[in-house]
Amino acid sequence: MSSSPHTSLELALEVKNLMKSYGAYPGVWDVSLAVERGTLHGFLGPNGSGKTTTMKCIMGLLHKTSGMIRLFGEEPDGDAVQMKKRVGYMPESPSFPTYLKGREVLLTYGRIRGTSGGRRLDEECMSLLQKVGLTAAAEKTVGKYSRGMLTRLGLAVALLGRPDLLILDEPTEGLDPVGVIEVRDILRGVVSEGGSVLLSSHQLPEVQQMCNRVTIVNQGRTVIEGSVDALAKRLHGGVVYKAEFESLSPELMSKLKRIDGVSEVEVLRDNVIRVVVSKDYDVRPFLARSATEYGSLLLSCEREEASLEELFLTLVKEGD
Amino acid sequence: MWAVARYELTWDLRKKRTYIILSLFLFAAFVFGYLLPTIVGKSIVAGTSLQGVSPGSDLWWVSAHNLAYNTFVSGLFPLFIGGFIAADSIGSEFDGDTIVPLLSQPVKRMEVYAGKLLEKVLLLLVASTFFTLLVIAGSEASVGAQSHLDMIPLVVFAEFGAFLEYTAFAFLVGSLVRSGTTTLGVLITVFILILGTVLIVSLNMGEQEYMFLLPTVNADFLLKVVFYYIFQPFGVMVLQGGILGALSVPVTVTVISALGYAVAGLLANLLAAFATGYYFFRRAEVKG
Repeated sequence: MSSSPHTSLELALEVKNLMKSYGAYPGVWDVSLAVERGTLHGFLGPNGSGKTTTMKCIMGLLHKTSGMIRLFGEEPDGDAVQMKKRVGYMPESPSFPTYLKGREVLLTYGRIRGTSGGRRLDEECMSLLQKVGLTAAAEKTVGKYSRGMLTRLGLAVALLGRPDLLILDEPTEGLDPVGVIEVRDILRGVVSEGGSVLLSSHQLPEVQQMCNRVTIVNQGRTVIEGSVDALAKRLHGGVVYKAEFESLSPELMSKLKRIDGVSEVEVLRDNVIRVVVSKDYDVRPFLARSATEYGSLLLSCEREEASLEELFLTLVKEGD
Repeated sequence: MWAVARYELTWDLRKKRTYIILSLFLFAAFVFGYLLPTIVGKSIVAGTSLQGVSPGSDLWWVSAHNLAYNTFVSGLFPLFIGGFIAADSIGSEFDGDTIVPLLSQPVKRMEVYAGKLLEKVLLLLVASTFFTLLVIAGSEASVGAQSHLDMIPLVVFAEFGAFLEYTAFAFLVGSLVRSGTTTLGVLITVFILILGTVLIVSLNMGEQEYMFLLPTVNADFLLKVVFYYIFQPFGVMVLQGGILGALSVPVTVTVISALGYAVAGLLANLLAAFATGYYFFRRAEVKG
């Protein structure tokens, strides 16, 4: 994995060489990740790769076997009460006492959290319910909530007290498309206000769209960490362009391969090629000029968006 | 801690199980405190260990004693009210994963544990006081004015202690097995096993003082000894027929000595169960 260029002070969360074993069975072998302050950090991995175990270790719900966890530059000790005041956590399938109403759930955990008292807490709870779209279900008992509603309520509980860091395990699980967009907006709002978010998800396009950086784990180990673009570059060995020409002669192909920085040229279909550029510059003017030089025309050329899914599958396959 | 206690109280007050148990106790209070004294006239349930020291027509304390501890059936009540209600308290939090949002809050595990305990202490104190007063009211309605009302605090203490002892074991088992249903099963099994063992030992060797230290036996014994202490602080008590009236070998012990065993047993059991329970709760992991 790539080493983090950041100091602990810039990080909301830092996990290094985390190991958690259940007797002989290793839950997590060697997970490292760093969540920068003010960023949305994706945490990816196939089922059973150790994402939830890592998150539970961070929250003190599981006791780590070895490794280091730092929240806001400090290692939590004991119950980590002071640090937990700055962290909101949402588990994969949030469960709340079924006899409580939605509003009561927030009031209850708000009181335990010691967020604020009396009317202020009540106002905060109603505002959070509105934020996650549960105002209409505020007086309904949690036992009657659907999976999606529980996810929304779980997010509201995590947002109690405006924490600096949100740790969310599959926060869009069970949500309809509208719900997914709403959650995305909420999380972007948190980040725009200076907060940080670590979220695990199976929705790769979602993570790609939302997250600045990602960590990919497989079989209990961190496979790679970095920005989505940087990781894609690493996968392809550079930036990828897809270009369509009027005609494609062997001479033109040969010329394209000689352009400075082009590391690979591959024919995808008739007159359509894929160009990999190892240097970070716009290769399109050079392609257009070369086409004209060899009696052809560049009809279209677009930079291919890095596919996290492709990267994810490649890395996971390598790991297997 | 108060917020956790409030959370716990809300839960208890919305559980069907709580109301089923309270209804049973209300029914028993009516039967022992009013119905039986009305039918029998004087001391209820012939053959009880207290009838020898019963002061005339003063029935309420005899009723309270019988209600809570003197028969096997009524001896289940401390298990019901102290154990069954508390069985959910820790075990079911793990069962249903509701422990996750609780432990994810910025609160010490000690506060969570102590908050839950605090709520149970308050709930059991109210229950003990309420039922004692209910029995007195029943006896007053049945046979007229009752006296010795100055001993109410001691009776409440004994009932409360007995209830709390079962709560302590429910906390211990719940923290260890992390399942509400299993906690309930273990409590019932241990209750039956200990009573069975004590019965066998008593039948063969007579009641032994060390028995008063045992969980559940100690809880059942506490109120009996408190009554003896109030009426005969320097006397002796003959232990016979304590369990299902089956004890054939009477044993004589001083009241002070028996009270010492009962209180020491109570404190030791509470301390050991709550402390060990907290040890397991502190180390408990939330898997799944």
